[in-house]
Amino acid sequence: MAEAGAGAGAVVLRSEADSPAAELLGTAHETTGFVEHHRRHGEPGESGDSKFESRHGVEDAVPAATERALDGTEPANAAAVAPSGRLAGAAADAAAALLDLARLPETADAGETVLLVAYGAGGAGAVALQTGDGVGTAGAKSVATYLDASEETSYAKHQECRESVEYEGVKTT
Amino acid sequence: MVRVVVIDGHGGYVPLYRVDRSEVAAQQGGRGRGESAVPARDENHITMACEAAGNALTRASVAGDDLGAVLTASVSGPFAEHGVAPHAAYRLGATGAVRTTDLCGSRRRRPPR
Repeated sequence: MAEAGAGAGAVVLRSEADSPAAELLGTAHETTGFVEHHRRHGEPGESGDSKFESRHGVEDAVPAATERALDGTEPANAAAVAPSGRLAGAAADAAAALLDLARLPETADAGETVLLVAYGAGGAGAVALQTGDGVGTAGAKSVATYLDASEETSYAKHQECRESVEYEGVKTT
Repeated sequence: MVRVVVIDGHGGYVPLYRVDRSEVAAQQGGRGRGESAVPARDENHITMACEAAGNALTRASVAGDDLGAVLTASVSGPFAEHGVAPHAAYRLGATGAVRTTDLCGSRRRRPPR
């Protein structure tokens, strides 16, 4: 699957529904305070040594948050999000957490335990879900459809057409 | 088990255009493989959020004016003083007694409680 750069994901949360896409099983956080990837005002983002971060950031935060969110259940499907795709590992691409959260019910079967874990500055957050009868791609365009419908453009043309957005001193590209 | 919350509708959006990451790397430095989706001229954080939200609302059979809260999360945003959620809420028709919250600035997203 191609990685999404720009994009968005959305979910409608309710206390109950007749045929939900998923039911929340558990959420968990693990805060380590280890902030390797960071960006100062007016500067581009910086990432340190990825091996060091794997050892002292990801390995401390992600398993702890994951185990508490799952509370003993085994996930059939999982997505992991991190500042770099390499840290996110083989379970997922580096798309944003909400896009992955929206995509999981499109790709999972009903009755599965699915996990989304997001690692970032200072720790990780995890959410475990039990999918329901509302899974699938019916009723609206799927993420796969959007990804398949692509049109190449040059970086120069993209920059020319795009309104430059400055966020905390840095122009987004 | 007591149900705390369910996902009643889910939807994503990825813009049409793609740029080659090696081309970006050639201009900006670093290395790049594969391609990235990029927004068109008339797309931004709010329009993309609304496209995804529209898909989620359709699958949930929920109208925008039935929403009680609109929460958005993004690592960046067009405003120094954030306001993506109320802009998206207005576009979705969720105005009036609607709570809005922007969660911004970190890739470590907080999952729903």
